[in-house]
Amino acid sequence: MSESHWLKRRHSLDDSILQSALGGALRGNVDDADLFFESSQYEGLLLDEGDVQRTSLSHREGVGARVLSGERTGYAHTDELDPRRLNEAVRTANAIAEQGNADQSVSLSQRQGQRDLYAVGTSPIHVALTDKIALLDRIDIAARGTDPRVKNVTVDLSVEHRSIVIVRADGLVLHDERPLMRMMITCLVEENGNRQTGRSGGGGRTEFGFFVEDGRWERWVEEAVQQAVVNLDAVEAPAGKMPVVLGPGWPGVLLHEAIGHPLEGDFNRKGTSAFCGMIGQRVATELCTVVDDGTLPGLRGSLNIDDEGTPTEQTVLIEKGILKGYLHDRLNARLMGHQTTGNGRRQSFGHVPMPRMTNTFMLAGESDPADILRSVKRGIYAVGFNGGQVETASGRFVFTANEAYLIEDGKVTAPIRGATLIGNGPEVLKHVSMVGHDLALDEGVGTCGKDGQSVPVGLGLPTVRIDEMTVGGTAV
Amino acid sequence: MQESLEHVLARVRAAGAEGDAVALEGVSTTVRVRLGEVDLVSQSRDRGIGVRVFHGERSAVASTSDLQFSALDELVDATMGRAQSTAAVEHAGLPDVALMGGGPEGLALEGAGENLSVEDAIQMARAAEESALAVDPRLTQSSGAEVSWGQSTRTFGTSTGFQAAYTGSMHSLRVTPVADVGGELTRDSWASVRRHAGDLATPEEVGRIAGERTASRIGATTAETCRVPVVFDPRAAGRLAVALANALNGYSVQRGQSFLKDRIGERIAVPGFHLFDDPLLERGLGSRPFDGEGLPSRRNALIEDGVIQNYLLDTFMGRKLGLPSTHAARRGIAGAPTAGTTNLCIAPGSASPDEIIGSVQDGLYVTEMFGFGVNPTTGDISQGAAGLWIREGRISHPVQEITIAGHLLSLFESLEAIGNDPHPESTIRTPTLKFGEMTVGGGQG
Repeated sequence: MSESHWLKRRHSLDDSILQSALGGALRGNVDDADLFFESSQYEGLLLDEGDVQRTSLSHREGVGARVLSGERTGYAHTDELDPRRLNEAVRTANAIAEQGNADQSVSLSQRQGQRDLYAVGTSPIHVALTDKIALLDRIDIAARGTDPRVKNVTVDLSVEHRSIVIVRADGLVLHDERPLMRMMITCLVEENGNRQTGRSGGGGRTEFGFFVEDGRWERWVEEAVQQAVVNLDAVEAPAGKMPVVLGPGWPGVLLHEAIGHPLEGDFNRKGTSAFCGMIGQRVATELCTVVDDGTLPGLRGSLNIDDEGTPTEQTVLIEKGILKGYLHDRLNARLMGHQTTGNGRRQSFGHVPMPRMTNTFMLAGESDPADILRSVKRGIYAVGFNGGQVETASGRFVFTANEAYLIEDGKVTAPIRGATLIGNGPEVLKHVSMVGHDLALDEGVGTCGKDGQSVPVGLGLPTVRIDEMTVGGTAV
Repeated sequence: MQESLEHVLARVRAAGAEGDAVALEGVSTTVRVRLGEVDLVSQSRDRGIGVRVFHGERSAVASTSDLQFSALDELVDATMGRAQSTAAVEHAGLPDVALMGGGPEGLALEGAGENLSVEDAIQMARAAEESALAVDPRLTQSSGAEVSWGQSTRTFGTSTGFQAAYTGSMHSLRVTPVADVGGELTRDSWASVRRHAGDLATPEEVGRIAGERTASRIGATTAETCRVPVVFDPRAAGRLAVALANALNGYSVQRGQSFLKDRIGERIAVPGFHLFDDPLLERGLGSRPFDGEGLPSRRNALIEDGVIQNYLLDTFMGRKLGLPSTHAARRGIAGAPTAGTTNLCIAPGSASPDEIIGSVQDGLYVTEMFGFGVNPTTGDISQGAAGLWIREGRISHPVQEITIAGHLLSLFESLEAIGNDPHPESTIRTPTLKFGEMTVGGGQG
């Protein structure tokens, strides 16, 4: 029962102070409340022009106090961790509740986690700076040696560690130690004045050695260089409606935008999602089963508990084409009469939790990926994407390819220039006619933005054929 | 905060190094109302300090929210250690202290005596939402109306003895009505964002515009794939200005990740097209008296009469490219400075938006762009879009689920009209723009 206890050790916030703060939060007509303490360290390195020129380290800590009453949320945060500021935050958050007279008294009980999805010997934040610089230097040399057309290499490395303490309305005190790291390698190639960039990378909630195991960084270097070189010969992308084959892994950004966001509980409770009232209806072909799963060890989107203290789980969103369920935090689950799914997440103690995705992917099908490509007479094959965006009310989403090819008579032919694909969430999966057996999860680079809050997420997809999607090229 | 800042800088000097530091302290409040009921009241207090040290040409940055002196000492010592592990980089260092300055007075970044209460804000939000939903009976849902306000103080100093500070305030009111027509949802939003509360548009006006924009999009269909003239409304045009500014950022240029690399002095757009960054606009949302390195702010011409004039540069990138800093260093408390924009502006032209729309026989009026489809290395652009179709000079019908694609260079060479209506309530002040031709991708045909 001692882990709390950077709070106690560094800030003299002991259990009696936490208990009295919780009591203050629960005063009056309150349905739920929590205190979210966080101490985070973030380290960034940037290699450019052959050297690690920039490093940064930041430390931030504070508390967010939240009080829920009916549909109302009261929230206040401070980065001054002392009893006076804590109680001030609690009083401010509690002001939205109809007032009662007395503080509530709930005794605290500590709960140890049932599992640790990211147990690490040494959190990557504690690996020496010189070791990190040495790895980035090796990557730079290797990338420049891959192809004489490589003119510059940048490597972005970010590493963080968050210590979380959540005090819930029922008095449970939960802890989580969250390591996270991410590397992105960008290669610039140039040939006859034609410049192109290619990117690859990965990471997760794991040890620093992850980058060097299984030849990972070497493979990312090859992928980044290859993507840039391929784009040297890119031709105009076609425009209009056509069959699209998505490659495995990161192209799962399609599901994140088209399916995941519109199934977040807040939009559905408020009647502002294109999927409102569609539970039990067919929204995809039978080949499609889509899940959100925060329980996969070491992945970027995984969490032992969400940011409200609920253990994460695997939530089925679409089962064999039928819409099954929403992603919930405690507020929206309570108001809709559902169970929370462990998807209440926040960027930091300075932010209100919302329903957010963890790792979202489609389960594998049975088709051979080669057969999927062979089945297309004229279309595109997209294997790499930047990011995507969705407007949840209309369900319209976009995502932009940075590595894609034409398919002509069943063969993958010329690379095409970056093209945005656009579609409609409740419709797009009705056009999935083949699903490959090659499910892959992305390698850990995704960040999702919603209402100004960023959280790390994972994505996954097997090779799929979508019979029609609108492709935003320039060739008419 | 000044005390913390001075403590940090003294520690840097004591270690025999040079450095600069920035401290931020702010408070803000957000109130959201949805369908007349209070949805959220949120208040925040944030503070922190960031330091950059130079040990010769080796540097490192660090920041913390823990302002106890012992924590600040640890911060500086750790940062010194990290600098020594980092590669020496030619040109690294503080700007010349003789160039530093607190900048002009009179930017009026802070409203005086504006104590908006939570109750006032709730009333404003309610009024704005009511006004939005009253525009059209089909507007029956809402993502809410949100009022935010706050202020923050930035203090900057160097180990070489320069110090300056400024305080700015911010007020905003945003409404997002939703139309529900047989389960088909349509949404748009409008906002007023100002430094001073007294400059905000009335809740009734913000609501009315949000309602009209949303209602105008009800029943949108996709379009045929075609090549047509395209008009961007001021908000959508801002995305194009940002794409140009990103390509003119010294950091993109130096890395080769810019299609405008090595093109200073070249014409890339029609005469009459001026792109500039102006941190000195009175009450401007992006205005500031000095940049992230203590250099006094100034207006920077990026493109004049279609000809590229300069890049956006901080001290380091300027020295690297052999050019003076354009005093465009952008800096939060965490992370090293980089170059960036403040108030990015396209000089307005003389045509009204109605005249511009009236000049189009058959084309697209873009009111929203989404996605991440601008490639700064090549200048290729492919974005999702929504808006209104123009037939014979008039708005004909709403369209969505379409893409627009082209190349930024050919686009700005085909710029046919610049509106007189720059959007003042943003850090991107762009007017309506009309281009000769883009490829529109749609689901028909």
